[in-house]
Amino acid sequence: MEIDWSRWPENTDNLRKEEVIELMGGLDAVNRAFDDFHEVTARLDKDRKALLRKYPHKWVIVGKDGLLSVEDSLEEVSKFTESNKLKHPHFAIEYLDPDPPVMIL
Amino acid sequence: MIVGEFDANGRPLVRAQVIIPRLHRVGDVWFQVDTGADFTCLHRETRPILGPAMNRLSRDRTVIGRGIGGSSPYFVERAFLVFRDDQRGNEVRQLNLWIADPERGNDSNASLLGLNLLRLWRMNFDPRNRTLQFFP
Repeated sequence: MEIDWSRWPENTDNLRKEEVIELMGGLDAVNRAFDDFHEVTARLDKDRKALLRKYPHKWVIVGKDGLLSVEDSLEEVSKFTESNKLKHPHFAIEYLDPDPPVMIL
Repeated sequence: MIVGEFDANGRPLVRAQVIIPRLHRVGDVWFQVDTGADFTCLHRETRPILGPAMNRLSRDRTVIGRGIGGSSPYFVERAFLVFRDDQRGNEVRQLNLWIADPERGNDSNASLLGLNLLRLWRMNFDPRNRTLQFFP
């Protein structure tokens, strides 16, 4: 999603919902971004078991057409997305943990 | 109505677009719904969303979050969260987003949708039928 930040006011406290959506590029653009991200995460869901077998304990970056990169750390993930100019919502990331911890939040 | 989902472990999730105007950053996040969290927190998505803007997080606006795992520092930024609602029009909320300091742990945990948002909505949580709905 490309946002023209020059259009955003410095103080955003009084922006109405419609103004925020418009500043994000309009409702169609926002919903298209939701759809694109849904497509990417659906691909990750589909591939998760195979990726986990192949790349345990690694971070993976997945696009709508499949695996984009395998990295050792979240820092490396960030470097990859920045250097390849990957933009949200066109990728999803996940740590492939074969023994996921029990979470107590 | 905002529709959530359950992950493979049955954890309740809801998807949002996160916009941080001051840092000119936007990203998509599956938040884990956590009625025990006082605030909405960004964890594993911090680095990928912020990227080089990490250096622009304000050291003047930090808080300490306490949980079962101990204490961790967070940066606080004003942010918009946008949730898809095809019936009533997308829900847009501005809030103080707690952003985990990735140098100090917490960066592999799920991001949390906490009470500062959840208290504004009615929630239908029905895991037996894999139904998760929010009514702003």
